[in-house]
Amino acid sequence: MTKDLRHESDSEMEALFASLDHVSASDSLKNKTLQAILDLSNEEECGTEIASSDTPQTSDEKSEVTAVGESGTDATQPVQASSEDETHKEVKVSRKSRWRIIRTTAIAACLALACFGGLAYATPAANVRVETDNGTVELQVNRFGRTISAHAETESAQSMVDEASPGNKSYEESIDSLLDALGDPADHEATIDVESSDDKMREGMQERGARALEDRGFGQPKPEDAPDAQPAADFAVPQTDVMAPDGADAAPEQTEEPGHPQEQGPAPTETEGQTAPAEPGMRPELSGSPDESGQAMEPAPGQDGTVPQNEPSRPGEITEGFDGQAPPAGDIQQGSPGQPVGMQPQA
Amino acid sequence: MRNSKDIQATMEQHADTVMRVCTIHLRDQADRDDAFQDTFVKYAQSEVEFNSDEHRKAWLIRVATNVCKDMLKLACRRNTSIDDVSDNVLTEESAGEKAEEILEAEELAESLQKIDEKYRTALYLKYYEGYSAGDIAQMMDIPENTVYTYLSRGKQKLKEVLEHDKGFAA
Repeated sequence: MTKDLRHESDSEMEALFASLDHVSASDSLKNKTLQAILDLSNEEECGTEIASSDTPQTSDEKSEVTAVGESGTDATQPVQASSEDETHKEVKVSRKSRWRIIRTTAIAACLALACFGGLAYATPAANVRVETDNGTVELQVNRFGRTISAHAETESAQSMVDEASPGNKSYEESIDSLLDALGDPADHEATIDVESSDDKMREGMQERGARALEDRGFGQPKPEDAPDAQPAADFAVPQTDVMAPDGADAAPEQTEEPGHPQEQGPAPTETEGQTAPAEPGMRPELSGSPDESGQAMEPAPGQDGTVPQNEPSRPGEITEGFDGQAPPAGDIQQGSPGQPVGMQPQA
Repeated sequence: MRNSKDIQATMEQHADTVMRVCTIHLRDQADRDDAFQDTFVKYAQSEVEFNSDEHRKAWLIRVATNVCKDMLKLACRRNTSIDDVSDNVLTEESAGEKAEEILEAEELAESLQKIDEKYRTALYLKYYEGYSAGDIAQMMDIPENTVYTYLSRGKQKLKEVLEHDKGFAA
């Protein structure tokens, strides 16, 4: 039953599709197509581009689906429709060619960019000489700050380079890895020298190299003439730059070192004795101004020597006698000049 | 490039077949003409050696089908309004220049265009060109059982379309 229905349906379908017998291509369309193919072959022989030749031939007059016996009756076609088709085709072709031009240009630009980028990356802009106990390592750095090659002058330096492998790293990373490979900074010395035609780049790289050396503990060459004064000088570096242009020896005299109570012991007495009488309502800490003779007060116990000499004493130091409590204003007013304020409660 | 005599002879022999393929796939007459020309341009430029005339015909049907599919994709990208195309067809129909047979063919083509391309091609190859399922499988590059499926589903869908549009009982 199913087969019968299917066969019946097949015959119906065939009958239905038989209506397509009346579909045929017009002679004009065939002629135009033949002409287009001939023109295409001629232009191919002349070496011209196919796309440009497609436009006029494919914009022919419209053919019709005509009966077989009626072919050739479609020779008269509206001129307007033909020109519209031509315009449509021209737009399509021009879009194709434009897209082709854009694509070609983009590819060429990408290739040029890649070439220039690769060239710029591979061109050294600075040479860095890292001189160590094991020998000298010369790094070539490009303008992007990347190390592109490393050459060692000695075998020990070469082993250091092999261990550090500074290639294709940033300049700082290369220096760090080389210094790491060099070993303990206490046992080795290292200096960095940068050569570059670009002054700004050279200065920047030299500064970064020096910073890397300092960070690793290599530092700059140590002063050999005063090895004993080195710890004190290191400690007093910020102060000697400001206060002791004569050298490190002057620093301990002008700046009170902490941890010397025998020098600071009488300081509270002298300070309180030289303190000018405080005005009513004046805070005790402000009463530690220099006296009329301009003699500087000595710092209170516990203060380091970096406090300027005309700086008033701290409140906590003045109120030591009050067991850490701030003195009342009346007590301060009752104090006579030269009498230690902090001694009143004890008396 | 093939010689002009070969091209001319092929065109005389298979032009109607190619035009039928273009007709069932494309709605606009200008698109059909373009697909027709593209198919024969491809034939002229191809270097394929044909064993027989049937081989050549099958090659042309396949190329024409692919050209029409490409044009349909382009039409989708261009977002051509269906109303514009319908107006075009209606205008041509209203001109009264076509015979009744041609209108029937147009109606069938219009119904075929409403079903999927794969079903349409399978139905055309089977019920108009008379190819076997094996030949259709080879031409469409699909398994033979799939051809049977396409034919069965295609018939059903075409019937539904015809009944819906024209009240035609297939």
